[in-house]
Amino acid sequence: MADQQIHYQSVRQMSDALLAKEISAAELADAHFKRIADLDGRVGSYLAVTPDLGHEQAAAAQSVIDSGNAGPLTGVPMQLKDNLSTRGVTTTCASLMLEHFVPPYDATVTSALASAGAVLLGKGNLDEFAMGSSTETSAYKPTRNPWDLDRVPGGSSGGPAASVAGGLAPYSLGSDTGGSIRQPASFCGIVGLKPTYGLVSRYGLIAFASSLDQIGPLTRTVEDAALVMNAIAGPDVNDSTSISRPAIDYTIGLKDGVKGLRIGIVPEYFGEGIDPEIARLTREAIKQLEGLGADVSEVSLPNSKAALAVYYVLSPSECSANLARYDGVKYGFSTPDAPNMMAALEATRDGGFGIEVKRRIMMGTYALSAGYYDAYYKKAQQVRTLIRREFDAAFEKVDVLITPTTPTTAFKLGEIQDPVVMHANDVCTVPANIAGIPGISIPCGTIDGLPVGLQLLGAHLSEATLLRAAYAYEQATPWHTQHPAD
Amino acid sequence: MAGLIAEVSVLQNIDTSGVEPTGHAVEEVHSVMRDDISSPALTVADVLLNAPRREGDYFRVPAVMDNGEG
Repeated sequence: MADQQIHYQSVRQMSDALLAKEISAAELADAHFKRIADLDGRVGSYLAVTPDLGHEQAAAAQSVIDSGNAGPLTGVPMQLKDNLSTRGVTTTCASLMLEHFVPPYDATVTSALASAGAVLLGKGNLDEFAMGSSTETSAYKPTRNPWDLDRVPGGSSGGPAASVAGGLAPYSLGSDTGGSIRQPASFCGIVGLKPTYGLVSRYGLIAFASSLDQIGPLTRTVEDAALVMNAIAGPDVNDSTSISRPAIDYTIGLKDGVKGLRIGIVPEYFGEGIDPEIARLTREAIKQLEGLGADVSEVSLPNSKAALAVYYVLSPSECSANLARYDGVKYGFSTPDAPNMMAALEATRDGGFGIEVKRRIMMGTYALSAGYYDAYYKKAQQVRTLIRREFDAAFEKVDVLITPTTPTTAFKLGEIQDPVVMHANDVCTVPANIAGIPGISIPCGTIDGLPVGLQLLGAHLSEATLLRAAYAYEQATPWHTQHPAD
Repeated sequence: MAGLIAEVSVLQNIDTSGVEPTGHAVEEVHSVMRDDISSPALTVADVLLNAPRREGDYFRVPAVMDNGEG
């Protein structure tokens, strides 16, 4: 494998090169650390780089490779979004509140990848506490889109998406509460999978909205997403909401094609606010899948329109409860000189949280307050039921729904100031979180040199079907072979 | 805040009479009790690792009840 191209190889290709002894795990790690040192000053996708731990893990992985016991992730470097706990490695959530926080334990996904032989490169930037759609609310720095450094990478997993798109990490793990894996994957021209709620353990993911949060992979190919899912999916005694069914191999059946697959096209996702060029590319992709043997029909989801409003009641409400733990006593930002506990709490939360986080805590506190609870929180939960039922009915008729991932391509840094306008970015991705269903975004073309994402949605635990359809489309198109210029 | 509240007020136009609220959307997700067997937990040193202020094996906090040192 040619040296200058190492960083754009797929996980599978890197693994093959490691097994063939064409490159060592240490050399592969070093190639990435060097590229991060050379380029990440411009992109800003890492909050921390971990060469010591990375080299240690690479050495251990090499022994496993040499002993003939390597799996497909052994020795392949990766990044983790900085809201995933890493024992002994600062985990900030891109917030001043956790600037110096060193978790005393690993997230389940962190230890799962370590057991699979992964080599940690560092921690990816995000919107503060994963609240945002542009990575501009990070307390430390914005991340830039490798396709155009004047534009955002999306968010909240903007660091992971920019790293993977820019060849600064072979893959990364993100979290998706309302689109935070799929929207940045779309903006950066890569693959992003939000699994079914409960399929991947959330233990050690710093909580934002617990009934919506889900961890998933950001990769450059669909097969890589399947390989990472094999390592991270499965039940976990440390997450009481994890689904207790045995893990499956997501690479089995990946290449079986889409002949006879029933695809639904949802008119509500092509309406007002969607860039007509994105709508056109989405329809073109559906046509291509039809050409590969899929059966396409129209399915209406009228309640999807309300999903955004449901999301902006439920997620702030859950966030206001989850973030109540930041009291400056046990860990995190603290103002110990305050005269009493109340003053200390106020000063800690005022100084530790940024504006977007405060806005959501206030909104959530309002929605949960006595007198408003029924009108907002309970009402949103009831509409959530309607949205879920609507998806259930749709998946009686079709196997996969195909929509655009985002209404627009990546916008410029600083371009969107109004939070309500920013929220509209999530309009196509939020319904999956509300219903708990899986969704994957894959690249389906470009507009003026900026990537466009195609979203595939499926019934609960239909990841294998989504990956199969995504793989068929990917292999029939050139998009995954295109990368931004350095 | 007014803009945010206006954004979510469209919910009021949806008829939800008789509709049960959904907390978690996935039917297979339900609270499970693990077996009541003790297993290793964090050490005291680990728990106090990130304490902004500590005294011995305790978190130290400002006075809770009055303005004096507590």
